Order: sequence, then C-alpha cells, then structure tokens
Amino acid sequence: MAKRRFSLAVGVLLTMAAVPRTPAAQEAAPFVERGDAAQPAILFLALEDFTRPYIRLLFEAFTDAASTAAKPPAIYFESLDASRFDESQYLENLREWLRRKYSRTRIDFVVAISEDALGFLAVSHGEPWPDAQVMYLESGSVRADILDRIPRAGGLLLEDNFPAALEVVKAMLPDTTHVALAYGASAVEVTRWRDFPGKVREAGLEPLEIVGATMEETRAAVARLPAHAVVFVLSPNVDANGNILTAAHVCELIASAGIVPAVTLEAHTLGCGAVGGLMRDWAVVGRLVYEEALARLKTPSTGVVAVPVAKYTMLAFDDRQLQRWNIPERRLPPGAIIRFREPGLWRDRRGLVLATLAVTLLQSLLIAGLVLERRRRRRAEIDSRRNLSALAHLDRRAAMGELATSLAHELNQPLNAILQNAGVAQMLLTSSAVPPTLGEMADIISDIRKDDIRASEVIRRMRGMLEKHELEACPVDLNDVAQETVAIVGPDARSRAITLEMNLADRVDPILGDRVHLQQVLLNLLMNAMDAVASVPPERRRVKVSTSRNGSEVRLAVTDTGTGIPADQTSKIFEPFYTTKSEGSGMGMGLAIARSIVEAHNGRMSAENDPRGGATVWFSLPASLTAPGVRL
Amino acid sequence: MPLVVVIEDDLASQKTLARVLRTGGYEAATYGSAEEFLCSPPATPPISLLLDLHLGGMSGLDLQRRLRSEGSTVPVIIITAFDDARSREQAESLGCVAYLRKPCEAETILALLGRLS
Repeated sequence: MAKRRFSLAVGVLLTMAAVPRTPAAQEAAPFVERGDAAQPAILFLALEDFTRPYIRLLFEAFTDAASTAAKPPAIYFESLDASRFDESQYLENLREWLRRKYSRTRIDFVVAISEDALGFLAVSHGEPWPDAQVMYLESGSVRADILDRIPRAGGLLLEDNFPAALEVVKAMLPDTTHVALAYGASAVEVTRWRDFPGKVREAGLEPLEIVGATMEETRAAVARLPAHAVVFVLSPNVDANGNILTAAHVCELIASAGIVPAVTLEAHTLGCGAVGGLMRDWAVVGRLVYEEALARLKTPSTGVVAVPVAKYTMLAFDDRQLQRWNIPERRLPPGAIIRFREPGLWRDRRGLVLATLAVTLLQSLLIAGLVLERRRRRRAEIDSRRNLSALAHLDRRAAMGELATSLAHELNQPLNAILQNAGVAQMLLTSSAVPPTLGEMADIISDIRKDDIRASEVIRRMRGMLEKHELEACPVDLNDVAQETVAIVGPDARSRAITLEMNLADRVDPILGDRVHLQQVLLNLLMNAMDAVASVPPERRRVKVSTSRNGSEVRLAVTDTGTGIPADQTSKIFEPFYTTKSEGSGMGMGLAIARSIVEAHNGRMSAENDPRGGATVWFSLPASLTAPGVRL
Repeated sequence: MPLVVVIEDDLASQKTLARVLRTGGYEAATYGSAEEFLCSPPATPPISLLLDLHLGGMSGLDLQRRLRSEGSTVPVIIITAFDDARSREQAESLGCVAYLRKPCEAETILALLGRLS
C-alpha cells in the first residue's frame, strides 16, 4: 500500500515537472554563495535517515574518507524520510523547503542514495540542485523512466549479492528447502525486495514471504517455518503498525523466535542472532562512494560503475550461532571470518597449549626417567649390599675358620671346668670320709653355672659371626664392638703369645650401623695385626685396640708392633686380592670387604705406619647424632 | 699333705684344679703364669706340676725346658685345650709324664697323681 502511494507520488511529480520553475525558485535571488568557492560541496540525499544503521555507516565512512583529503569537501546530508512520509505534496513541500534552505549554498555534487532518492531529483530535473552533478547508489538496477528524466546522473551500481548469499546458505545448510524473507511493511521495502522471491526460486529453493505484518505476527510466522528453512532478515524498517524498527532489535527478535537459522544480508546485524553469510559492508560502500564522487568532481561523468559483490561484501559468521545450529566450519566458504568466538584455550593459544603440553610431557618423561633411574640405582644398591653381605658372610666364616682352633680351646676351658667340678661333687657325695658341706656344694654348683654361661657366651659369639646377616642400621657402641671382638680373638692371641690391649674412650657416641658387620671389620683388622706381629719376638707382640671421638666422628684404631706396611703400599692394602701373606693363607679380600662395610656406613678407613715400628689401621664413622641418614 | 703346683692362666680352670686336688687329698699351690711361679716358687717341693701349655708370657713347654735345664726332676703333667701333635711330641721329649687334653675328668688327674706319689 505504502509502495503504491510512493509510486503515485513520484508519478504526479514527474507530471508536474513539465511545469516551469516556480516563482519561489526565482525568488531565491539574489544568490549569495556561502563557503569557499574552491572547496567542493557534496550533498548526501538519502531515502532514510540515520535511524537506519546502513545510512549511518555509509555516511560515516564517506565523511571519514573525505576527512583524509588535503582539502576536505563540505558535506551535507538530507533525508527524504520517505519510508513513512511518501505523499507527493509532502515531497514537493520538502523540495521547496530544500530549495530555500540551500538558496545561498552551492552544491556541486549530489549523491542520491537509492533509486528513490534519484527519483525525487528526477521529477524536477535535479531540483532543488539543478546544477549539481548527480551520482546515484543502488543495488541491482535503476528504473529506466527515472534515468530518462535525469540523463546527467551517473551511478554506482552494487551487483546483487543475494544470489551469492543464497549459495552460501546452501553450502552451509545443505538440507535447506525453504527461504523465508522477512521485511517490513513500508512501500519502500516492498519495492526494494519485490524481486527476491524469484531469486530464491532461481537458486532452487522455495520462497516464503513474511511481510506486512506486525512484529508479533512476524515472530509467530518464523516460529511456524518448516524444519529445513532459513529466514533472511532483510532489515525491516517499519512494521504494519507503522512502528520504526531497528535492524539489530528485529534480528534478535526473529532469530530468537525461530526454530530455523536466521541469516542476514547486512554485516552490521551480525551478532544479533543471525548466523551470518555473505553480507554487505556499508562502511566499505561508503569509502567506494567517496572515491567515485571525488573522481567525478575532478572529471564529470555520467557513467555507471558496477561494483562486484566481492568488492563490497564480507563473508562472516557468528560462532555462537554456528554452534547453536551445529554448522561445522568446514562447510563455510574459504576465507570466511568467524566472529564472537568463545575464548578457547586450544583454539586461541594452540601454540602455547602445545608448548605447555610438550614441556609437561618432557617433564613427565624426565621425572619418569629419574624415578626409573632412582629405582634402578636403589635396586643396584640393594643388590650391592646383598652381595656385600654375602661376601662379608663368607669372609666371616673364613675368619672364624682360622680362629676355630683357639675358639675350641676357649670353649674347652669352661667345659673342662664343668666336667671337673661335676667330678669333684660326685667324689664328695660318694666319699665315705667326711661328708661335704652345703656351702662347698653350693660353691661347686655356682662355678658350674658360671662356666656354663661362659661356654654359652663363646657359642653365642661364634654363632653371631657365622650367621648370614643383612646389613642393618641400629645404634651401636664401638666400645662394645671392641670388647666383643677382642673376646673372640683373645684365645687366638693367647695361643700366639700376643698381648691384646684395649684403650677405650670413657664414652663414645653411638653410631648408626650394623653391629655384626662392624665386629667383622674389627676382626679383620685384629687378625691382620696379629699376623703382622707373628714375626717379632713374643715379648714384643702387642696389638692395641683404641676408640676415640674425633670431631663429629667416632674412631676405632688397631695398632700393632709388627713390621709395618711397605711404604708404597699403604693405599693398596684395601684393594681386593691384595695380600702379603703366603699362598693359601687368604685371598686378600678381608680388608677390601672391611672397607666396603665402612663405606656403606658413610665412614672412611685408612692405614698408616708408626715411625717407631708397626702400623695403625683405623676407621671412623659419623656419630649417630650427625649421621646423614645411613642407609644400609 | 703332698703339694701339687698348678700353673694355669685361666682363673676358672685354676680354681677348679685346686678344688680337685684338695678333694684328692693334695695341697694346691696355684700360679697364673710361669713367670709368677719362677719368681715365687713354693717353699716345699711339690710332688708334681700341672702345667697349661698356653700361658700369657712363657709357655708351659718353655717352663719345663727351663726346669729341666736347671735339673728339676719334679714330674710335670701337661693339661691343655690344645691338642696338636707337635706340642705332644715336644712335651714327651721334655720328659713330661703325661699330656692331658681338656676337658679331662678329675678322677683321671687324681689317678695319675696317685701313681706318681
């Protein structure tokens, strides 16, 4: 209806154009021009005003581009506001008003936005700016009767992006069967979109028009659309109630009402609920219009320049809507821009994520490697200690074997005493002479018990040394170790006429270690020392065991009065298979094992010659309070 | 009572031997080492010496050797826990009357002394 009224108005105006210019126009003289004569003046004549976002974007881009010129043009803007006011009398009144308004202002160039604005100029041969160059902007084509009335008008024709936009929809949503076209109720809109259903059919789809409705009716119609439909929101301007609509709001309302995706032809409505698509970018168009206007100001032209779709459109999509409608990105045409993407660590910081993962993986591998290495080392340590224990056991058995004779003697002493005491008791009890007193018998029994305990002690010591024993870490008093070990070798020393001495510190701090293995170390040192003194006269055969506190260590030393260690071999005596004894007297492993045991206790062992003769072999161990976690 | 000298470095064995001797009707003079015996021999001559082989310092055989060299004819009985053939031969060659290996019965010692006296 509105469209028909506007067309009628244009028709009436075209008829009136045959009439000479009105006196009012002539009354405009005397003409006093405003502004700088060298500064071009450009007027934007638009069908609609700045309530339409595309007009605002177009004009802003135009003025922005113009502002960069060395001598920017003077720019004016006028709107016909014909979406709602399209009566012919109104338009003529407006023309008169504009004539008066610009009576003292020169306009060099008029940019007519849309066919309708050009039509307004055409009805009166360019009035109210009959001398200005005219360039129109339209999409598709312009009616021939309008162009005939204003042959001096040149144009910028945007190639129709709708067919290409439909192809994008088909690619994006291959199941689409219907395309709904939602636009407003104004005559301008009805005219503007009149060809669109045909274009939908040409694309092989079924058009559905939602037009001339109120907003509520439009939403209800969208909600009833078939399943495989899309709705093109064609920026409705005015609804059936005459309400001005804003593109973003309409887009939101329609998109939220739908059970089908909404698409749009205008880039500035992206983000308001539409999926997106191939859309006109009015900011780009604004710059193109300025460039063309500038060129025509320099060189007047009535030519028509076609702007290809690719030059003024953008292919962009709203990621949220792509997600909502399960549209995979691979269906989008190459070069598509995706906006409103939810921040995604993987998508936005892929390099950082990969680097972090790589570092984490590397760290994990490193940690795993270190753990395995530690486990392997720990296992090796356990094996090593087990081997050391086994070797130490063999060595103890060998040492005890060497001591077997003297130990047998040591055991025989109490056994002998027991036997003889028992014999005496029996003789006393069977004697016919004076009967034994109770005190005498008690004394004999007491001695038997003591000797029995003594024999048990010998056996206990032997068993302790002969048993297979793993290294353990317990508090050990080195004085006790010294006394116990001296007791073991005592009989052997006596049998070899060797004087064993002990010079023990009053009190030494306990060390953390294994008592049996430490006894074995000392046993080795003592037996070596006793061997060392065997070659000197009996009165000089002395072996001394001493303990002392040396800083944070406890030291145990065995000093002999033998011939000493050859000067160049003090460091070699701890090496495996080193021996100075005759063949068959030992494998030379005793001191090597002893040193290994000491080192397993975090201790150290050394040997040195005494300048007065003989040698001292010692080892020191950290006192338990300072021991750095002995691991045996 | 006839005197028997006991030279034994093991105090328990020394005490036991003395008890055996007393029970057998002998007087016992005990010494812990050969040197001790040589320093302070008993006032009355003993009928026998009970000698341990391994003593701290001079050994039992060394003492016997020395006594022999000094013309002693006191019968010497060796009582030892060591029973090696070499010591036994040495003891025999030095004129020891008996070589007893520990442990030995009290009756054996007393029977031996009985024969000597």
